[in-house]
Amino acid sequence: MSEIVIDRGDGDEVVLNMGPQHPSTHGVIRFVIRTDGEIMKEAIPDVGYLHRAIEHIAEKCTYEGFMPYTDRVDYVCAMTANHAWALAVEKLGALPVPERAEYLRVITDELNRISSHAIALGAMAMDLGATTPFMLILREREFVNELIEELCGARLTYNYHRVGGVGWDLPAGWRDKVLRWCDHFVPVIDEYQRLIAENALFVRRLANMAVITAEEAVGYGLVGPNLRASGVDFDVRRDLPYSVYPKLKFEVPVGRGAMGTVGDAWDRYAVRIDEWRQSVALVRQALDLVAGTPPEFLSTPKKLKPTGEAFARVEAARGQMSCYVVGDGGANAYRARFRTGSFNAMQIIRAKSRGLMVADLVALIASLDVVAPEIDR
Amino acid sequence: MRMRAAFALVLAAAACGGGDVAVQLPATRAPIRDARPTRLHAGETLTVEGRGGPFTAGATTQVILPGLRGFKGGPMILPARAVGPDRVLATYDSAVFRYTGSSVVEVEQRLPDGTTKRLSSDPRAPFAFELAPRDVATAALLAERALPSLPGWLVGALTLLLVAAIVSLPIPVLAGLIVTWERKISAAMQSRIGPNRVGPRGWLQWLADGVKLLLKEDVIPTAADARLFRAAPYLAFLGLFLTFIVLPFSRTLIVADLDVGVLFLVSVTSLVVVGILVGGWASNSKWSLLGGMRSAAQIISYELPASMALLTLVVTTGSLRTQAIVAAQGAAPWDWFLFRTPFTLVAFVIWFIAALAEGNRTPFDLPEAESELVAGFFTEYSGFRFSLYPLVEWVNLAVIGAVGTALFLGGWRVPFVTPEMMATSWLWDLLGFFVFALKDVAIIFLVIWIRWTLPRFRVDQMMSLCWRYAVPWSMACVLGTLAWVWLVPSGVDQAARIALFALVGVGGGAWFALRVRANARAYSDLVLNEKLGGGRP
Amino acid sequence: MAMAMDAEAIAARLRALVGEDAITSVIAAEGGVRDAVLRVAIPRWLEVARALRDEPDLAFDFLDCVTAVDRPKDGRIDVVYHLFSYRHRHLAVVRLEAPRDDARVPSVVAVWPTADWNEREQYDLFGVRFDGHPDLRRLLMPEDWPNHPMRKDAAQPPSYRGMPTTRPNTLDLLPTSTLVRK
Repeated sequence: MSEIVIDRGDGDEVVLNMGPQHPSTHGVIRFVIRTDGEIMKEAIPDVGYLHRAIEHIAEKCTYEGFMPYTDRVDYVCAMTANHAWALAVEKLGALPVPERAEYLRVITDELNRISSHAIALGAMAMDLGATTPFMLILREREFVNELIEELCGARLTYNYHRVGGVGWDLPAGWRDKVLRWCDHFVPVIDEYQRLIAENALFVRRLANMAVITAEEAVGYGLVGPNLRASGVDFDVRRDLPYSVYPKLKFEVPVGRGAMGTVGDAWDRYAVRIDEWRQSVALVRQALDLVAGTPPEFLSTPKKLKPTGEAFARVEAARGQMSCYVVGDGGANAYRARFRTGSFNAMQIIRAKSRGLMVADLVALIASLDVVAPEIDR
Repeated sequence: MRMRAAFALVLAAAACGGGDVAVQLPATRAPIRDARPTRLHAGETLTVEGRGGPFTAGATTQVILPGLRGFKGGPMILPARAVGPDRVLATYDSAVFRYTGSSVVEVEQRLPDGTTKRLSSDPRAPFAFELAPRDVATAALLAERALPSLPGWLVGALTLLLVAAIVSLPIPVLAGLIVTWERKISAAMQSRIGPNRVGPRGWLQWLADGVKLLLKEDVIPTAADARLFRAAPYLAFLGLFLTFIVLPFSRTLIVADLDVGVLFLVSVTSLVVVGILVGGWASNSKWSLLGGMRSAAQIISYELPASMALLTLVVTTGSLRTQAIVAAQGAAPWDWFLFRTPFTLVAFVIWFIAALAEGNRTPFDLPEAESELVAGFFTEYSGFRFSLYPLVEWVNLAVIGAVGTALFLGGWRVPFVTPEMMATSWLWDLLGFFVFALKDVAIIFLVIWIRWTLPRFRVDQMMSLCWRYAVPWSMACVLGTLAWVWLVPSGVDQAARIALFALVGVGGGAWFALRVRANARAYSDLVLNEKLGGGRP
Repeated sequence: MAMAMDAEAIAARLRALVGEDAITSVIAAEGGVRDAVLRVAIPRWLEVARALRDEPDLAFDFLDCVTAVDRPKDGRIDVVYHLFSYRHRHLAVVRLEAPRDDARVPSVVAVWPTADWNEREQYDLFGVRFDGHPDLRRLLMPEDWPNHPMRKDAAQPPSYRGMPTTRPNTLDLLPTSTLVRK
């Protein structure tokens, strides 16, 4: 929390305070909005309300024991955060990972990406006034939650990936359930697309709104769907591949400005819808390939006391999550750092909010898919 | 324009002296056929004109109408004057009377030499008064008759209070039922169940919520303007409540069939704006103020297309009275004003959109945009006062439905039943009320359906929709209807009505049904949800 | 034309552009160090940053991560920058070693706008001052927090604005009972 000082330039200016409790900010985030009637001059974000000192805690926990905390780095897409930490520590300690574990990691990553995008898209619709799509998409997310609960026992913060593999093997019959759900989910994507994406009101609210050019996106450090919506064709899974992604075929959707300009809010929405389809394809491929792998899913290292430093990147739902870990030979990490997609995305809000209306600010926050745990950690 | 002709019945020759005596009533009434008491409205006069005679000029003249019973019970005796040798004129403008079925009219003159001459008309001649059905003023007069010891003004006031209570008592129940139904509809649309615990299948949920809100702590922000803060919800409620006066729920179920019905409707809904603005300002919160300002801009802007859309109906009917507009329609769908002319069809669409905006319903719910303003202008309210604003919104749904039904969908007209038949028994009235309620409920469903499907407009988009599209289109509708009514011959008019009904009503309905069937087939796999725990209990 | 360069090549190019003394040394990727690290002299950091971004063969347009690592045993705080180039798909790790008692480092907000909050966070948690930052104030902690909490010697303040930061063991709050055998 910090003091935000605003010099009273204009007498007509109204200073509004949005948050930290607010139905539409995605978590506890506060905005101080200087407005002239409905049009904003600036929306200054104020973060830190969800700071839980996770990086500090990393220095107090063992490498393996820190895994549940990584769930809380982004609790909406916890699997990828698990994966980032596991990758970083495995890179640091040069640890092997069984092939089956890699496939399981990919399957759960992609399932979590689907459910995370469900939250993002549903919340975007709800922030624009339509409650129904959110409810419908929660129904789909419920299936994913139940599937993963059957796999690892948890619905939101999974602690499934481990340093050296994953925590549990596939239950009997799980594979078929997931495939059946995939068959069910693909028409839902189309239904959702028809309900929202082509709705004239949505298009009017989102098209040509808060356009972020490719240079701005790269300069401000936007990653993931936000970056791709601005036209930059980069995906960590394809371009800096990790795990078993080199063996899987998928496309990377890039914003094309279909309803307005490249990099507007509608593009950020459309990219996430297309990523849904790609994730389903990835899940199906991985499920096919996992059947042929030897049954070992966790190679537990004897005593993890690495020295050195390592930097790992995964493609989380909100973009590239980088994990930098420094080891000094002790059982605990010396320094752990998570650089998340939402953290960078928050910075661009102040610049983009000039000239927008208050209603557009809500749409902008929603289109950038910002979640408080990623910002504050 | 067939009903608006003057009613003047010429009677047969008088018994002695011959001649005709005509009774002429003001030209804005509908026929009565029975002995219920009737009161002349302000500014109206009952004119009795006697023709024939011979009448002596200058003599003290009285016109006696045994067929009309006056206030005190005896035959009506009107002072008259002989305007010429063959004309006698009497006017009567201030009392109640009843028609007893006799059609005799007598003219009595006291001649200067002291004798009395009496002329009367042929009792076999038909004679009918035409007046509006019973209304509140008549009820007041009945009460006045029943309680002669109380002063008239007191009885009138008590009657009005009683009527107000009778009208306002169902309003919370109506709001509650509508909100429970809305929650169930939204649940069905969202693959949820909705309220299902309180009462049979959840239909008493509104009662539980209402009681809970009544029991909540009444919080008034410290820096809020307490008097205005307290008064604001009641202003909004007043604006809503007053609209019930002119809604024709049935042929006889109308509180007061005001001559300026539609105008009254439009003007009184503006009171809701005052309630919202005052509520938003008195809360001493910037978010509430923002919501209040948005709402004021929205409602005031959309009054224009709403009133102009209703103006097309007034032009078609020639009257502002809601009962007159209902009576001008028929019971069959192609006789509704919805399909009357293409312009009224467009006017219905414009009016519907404007009514959504006036009622703060999605897609026009910016003033209470939950994701931006928490609850907009009623953020700071709690308890009973909090419940009043949503109550106004929900009952407004019923009012929108009632206005749409009465003015566009034929109102209480029952197929195959003429108004004359309906006058014979109160059971027909009840049937008319049910038909009205059915159509009202259909429009309410449409509004709820739209709310749970669409997102909301931004402020500038909403204003641009109003001023750049709705207002010019509604003006075009008025002009178009004027031209249509004036120029189009009745044969083409009739054919156009049937064609419009076939195209839009039947054709549209068929297209809708086919789309529903196509969707049900395309997404039949969604039955998976039922197995995994979704669906109805 | 995308051409990834390794750390030695990047260092050589930078030395050619900015000067020999800009890059102090290159730590090779061996042992526990998984990515090669360029050690840059603190006063030259801004020029090096500009060269890293603007030089077409380097084209590091994405500042991925800014990390401060507190090393009290060595008396320094390292500020580690991870940079990435979308065009050439190569990674560069830059380390600035600042003295612990006066950790000042030039800010690179002018080069990469995303450094804004990243640098603020490291200032907040470690106390590293970024010279030239337009708005260097705390980001995550309250503005009147007394220390920089992620330093290795940062002691937890006993209370903040009257709220104690520790609480007693709830079992000690129970009244003593005759049934409890000590």
